[in-house]
Amino acid sequence: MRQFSMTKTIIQFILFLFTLAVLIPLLNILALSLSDPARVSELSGLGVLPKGFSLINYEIIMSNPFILKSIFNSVFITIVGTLLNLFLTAITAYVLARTEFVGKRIVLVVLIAIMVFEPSMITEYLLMKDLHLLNSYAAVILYKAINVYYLFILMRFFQEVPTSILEAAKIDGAGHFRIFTRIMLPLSKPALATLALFYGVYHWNEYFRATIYLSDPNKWPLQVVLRQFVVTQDNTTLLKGVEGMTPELLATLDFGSLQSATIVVAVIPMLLLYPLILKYFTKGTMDGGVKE
Amino acid sequence: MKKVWGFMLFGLLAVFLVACSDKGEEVIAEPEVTEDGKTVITIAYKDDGPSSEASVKYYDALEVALKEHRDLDVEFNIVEIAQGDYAEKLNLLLYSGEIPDIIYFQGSDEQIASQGLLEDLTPYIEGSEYLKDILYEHNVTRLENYPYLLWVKPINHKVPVVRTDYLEQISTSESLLADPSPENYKAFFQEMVDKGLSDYGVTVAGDIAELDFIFNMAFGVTSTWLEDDNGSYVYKKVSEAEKAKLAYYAELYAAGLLDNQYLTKQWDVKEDDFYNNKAGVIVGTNGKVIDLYNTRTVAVNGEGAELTVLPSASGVSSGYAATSVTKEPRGLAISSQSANKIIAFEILDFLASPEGMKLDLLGYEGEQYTIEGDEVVLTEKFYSEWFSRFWEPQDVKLDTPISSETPLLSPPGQASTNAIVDTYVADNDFTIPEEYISQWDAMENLYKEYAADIITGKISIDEFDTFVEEWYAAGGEGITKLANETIK
Amino acid sequence: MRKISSLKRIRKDWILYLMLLPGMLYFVIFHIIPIVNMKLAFQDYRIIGENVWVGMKHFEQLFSSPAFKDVLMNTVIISTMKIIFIFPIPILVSLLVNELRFGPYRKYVQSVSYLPHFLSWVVIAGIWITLLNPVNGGVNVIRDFFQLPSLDYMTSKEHIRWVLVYSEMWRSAGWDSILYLAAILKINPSLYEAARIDGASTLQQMRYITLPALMSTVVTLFILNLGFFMSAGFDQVFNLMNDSVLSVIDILDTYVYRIGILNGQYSYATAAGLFKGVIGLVLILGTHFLSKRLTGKGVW
Repeated sequence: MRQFSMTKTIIQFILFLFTLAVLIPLLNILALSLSDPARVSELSGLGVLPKGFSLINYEIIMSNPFILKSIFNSVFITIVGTLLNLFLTAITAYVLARTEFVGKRIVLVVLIAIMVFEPSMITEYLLMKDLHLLNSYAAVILYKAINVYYLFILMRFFQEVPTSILEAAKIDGAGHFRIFTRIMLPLSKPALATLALFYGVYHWNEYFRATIYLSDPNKWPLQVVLRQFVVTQDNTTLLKGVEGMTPELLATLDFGSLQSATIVVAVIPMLLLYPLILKYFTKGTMDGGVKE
Repeated sequence: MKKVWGFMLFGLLAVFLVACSDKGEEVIAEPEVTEDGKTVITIAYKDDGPSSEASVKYYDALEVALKEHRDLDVEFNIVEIAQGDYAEKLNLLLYSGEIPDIIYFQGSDEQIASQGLLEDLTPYIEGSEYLKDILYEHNVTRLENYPYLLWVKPINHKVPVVRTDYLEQISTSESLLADPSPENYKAFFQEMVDKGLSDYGVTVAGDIAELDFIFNMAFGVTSTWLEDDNGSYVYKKVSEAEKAKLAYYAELYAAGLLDNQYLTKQWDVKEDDFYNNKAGVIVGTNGKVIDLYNTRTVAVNGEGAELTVLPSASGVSSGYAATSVTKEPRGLAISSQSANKIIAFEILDFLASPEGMKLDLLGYEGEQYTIEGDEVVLTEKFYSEWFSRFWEPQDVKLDTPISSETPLLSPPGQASTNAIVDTYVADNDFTIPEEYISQWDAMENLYKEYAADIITGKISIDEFDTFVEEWYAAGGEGITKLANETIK
Repeated sequence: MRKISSLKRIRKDWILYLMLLPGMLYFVIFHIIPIVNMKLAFQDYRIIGENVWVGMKHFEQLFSSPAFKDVLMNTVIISTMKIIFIFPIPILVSLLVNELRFGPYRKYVQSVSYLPHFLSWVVIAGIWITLLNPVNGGVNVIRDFFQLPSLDYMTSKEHIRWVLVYSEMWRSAGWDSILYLAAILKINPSLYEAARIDGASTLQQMRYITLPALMSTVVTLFILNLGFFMSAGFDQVFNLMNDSVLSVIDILDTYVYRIGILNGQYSYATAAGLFKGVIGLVLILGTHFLSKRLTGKGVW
């Protein structure tokens, strides 16, 4: 039984303040998106309760003909992209972290170079054009199929798997591929879950490349449709095609709260991922196998 | 040895693949023709794309009209331009070697023109049937200086507007409208705040550029290069006139009449501030933007809130701004690599004819307008969704006149455009040569920071002289010398 | 002799090379080729025909500008501040979160602290500008409560860099702690049990068990982050910039964006990219080999 600990209470309190600092501005955005457009000006920057209540902003967003399609596109890009990321990153990280082979050092230095050099947009665009990947999901998914930064992080995790386990497997006659799939991957679940989260969020939030490589609006991910409104100050895209949008109705809207609603819509699907990911961050994940 | 193998692993693949990654350079100079003998014209235009129903409908209608009135068999191929910053995305397309016949530019056209890829439009316009007659004064000068872009639209400047019911409640309005001196403007703002009509007089987003549309001329900042008593030119931002203007802005700021958060204000917050009556006066682009402000403020604040366009301040001079005539800042160009240059221009000329303008300005009969008797009556659909892609001359000549009941722009929108057109003066600026660009950037930043600090009272107006010295030292000497050689 | 043995080893380990192949193929196509094409920095781009070699022209244009020195200085200062003040925070957060019992409160802390990462800088800038508003922003309301004068942080040359630091901290402290938390979960629980039996306090357990076990992850991330030293956060600066603070937060990336990208000068932008990359490479490899020699730990 744990005893009351002063240190623990202080820690809990510090973290509580921290989450408060994060939460209040975010709740403010939520409150803004749910407020009655006519009363929005009453809401202060720290207010967390909506003034009045209206779902008009969400109705508008949801009646945009591209929104549902774009959510589907985003989910597709995120799932396929993340799976590919995980496979390529893990298999490459295993070879680089746990084996010796001829030329390894050069490969590592070249990888660092790949990480720090950012070629200009036009070079990448020409490459995609030559590969005939323009206007295809492949361009968006492939251009960062392995993030070198994450690759090195996964290598670090792989390196910390005790050598004794691998040696034991080797003695049993397991080859590299078998060790990788049967031992390395199961032992690295938290690391892979972390990476899945990182890659997943990255794909979900990807915006810039999607605007460049996906010109067909039917292929746009959610972020492109939403940011069109928030960033490029273009109200027409979001409101275009919304049934019964008259100038009068348009005029009663509050763009600030409409924007807030788009932010909420973009973030909510990410929250649905939380339980899935947090599962891997609980006690006992590492039980069995780690004991040296 | 190890290293050699490592290099080979990468090297071989690299060499193999680099070979096939060059940009496409063959430009097809043969006219592309469809199976039924139509000439294919590719066009890149902002917000138009093959997947947009509205775009496809428009260009289909244009094809029909061209066939009917000009006997041209044309098929438009609309290029899909990725969303986001148009200039940036268009650049990628052009730099990858794909050059449409007709291109709409919104910046960064000079790079393309300097590589000889844009057609000199002068001879075409001289030989045109309609276009040469609808050019604005500024179009003519701009085409002389830079003959690659064409944009027959009213000049875009910004004008201040205020709610009409406010204007009527304020006693100083009369003196403001009779004599819009900076002092009267200040008194006007002051009364608006004192009466509790708004929290502050005027709001702008980020910098004072919008404020300058009201006050520049009044303080004598009448052109980019100001001629001093000795006949030599001084850059406007280091002039005595500028100093007087900044001192005035600082007064407005200190008195709380200029939005005290203007430096960090974002565009949408700025507009909301106006609709929520935090700001009494807002400055917006003449025409459609003032139209939008008007619709919204009427919807939020009632009929009485219809906007009135305020006059520019007058003093040393008056007017909203001098208009740069170095080149069109945006507009349409024809590719010099196109095999269909003549047809491409003929299309542009058709759009200047009464038949062409009927489609481009008004939309489709039965949707955006109806013909009642011998007049065109514009419908709700026209006001809510139609915009003209091509020309908007000052005198619109149509076969059928537009009913006075349904004008093209709302009264405030039209008034704002008239105010700009009536006060037109040409500026004497010139394009900063490429070798000066990074210096120019630094000098402009120097100004922005000093101006912001002076206005917000961080430093006194006397520091302006220090700024002037720094500006000259940072490259101003060279540019000023160049200006005095260039401006005749 | 050695050559033969290398060949032999390759033949013996063919499965390794096969496993490496997809990754390497990807890197060559999508990264090595574009990097080779950064030769554009020494050329003028021609849409039609071959690019023209211009030697160091674009580098000279970049380095000779008087503003270059200033933006470089700002970049270095801001990056250094971020490394010193932001890098340790996620480590601290992970240590603190680790002390929470598994349960709803821990889930709440984790879930909430990751949230800001999902927002783009445009949105975060909006939040911070509101928060720091000198009249009714949250921070100044608190200052007012303690009878301190209101401060306009956003337009203050002394404070704006700290705004960059704190807003970045706000955004990434929780998110970046995920990695450390994952590393902490790998620590053998029996170590803690043993320590508790020996009577070690919470802080002592942190100091003598958790922190040492985290060190290799810390070193890896620290060195990798140095690779982005010259970046200093374009999106953030771009969105939090205003006229009053141009001279203190204009960084290399925002500068190159104005001069190069906006004007379609890809060669110039590439030259700047090359410069940044070289610095990053030198920093990473330099610290890596130094650290390897001193502590035995590095990126790999």
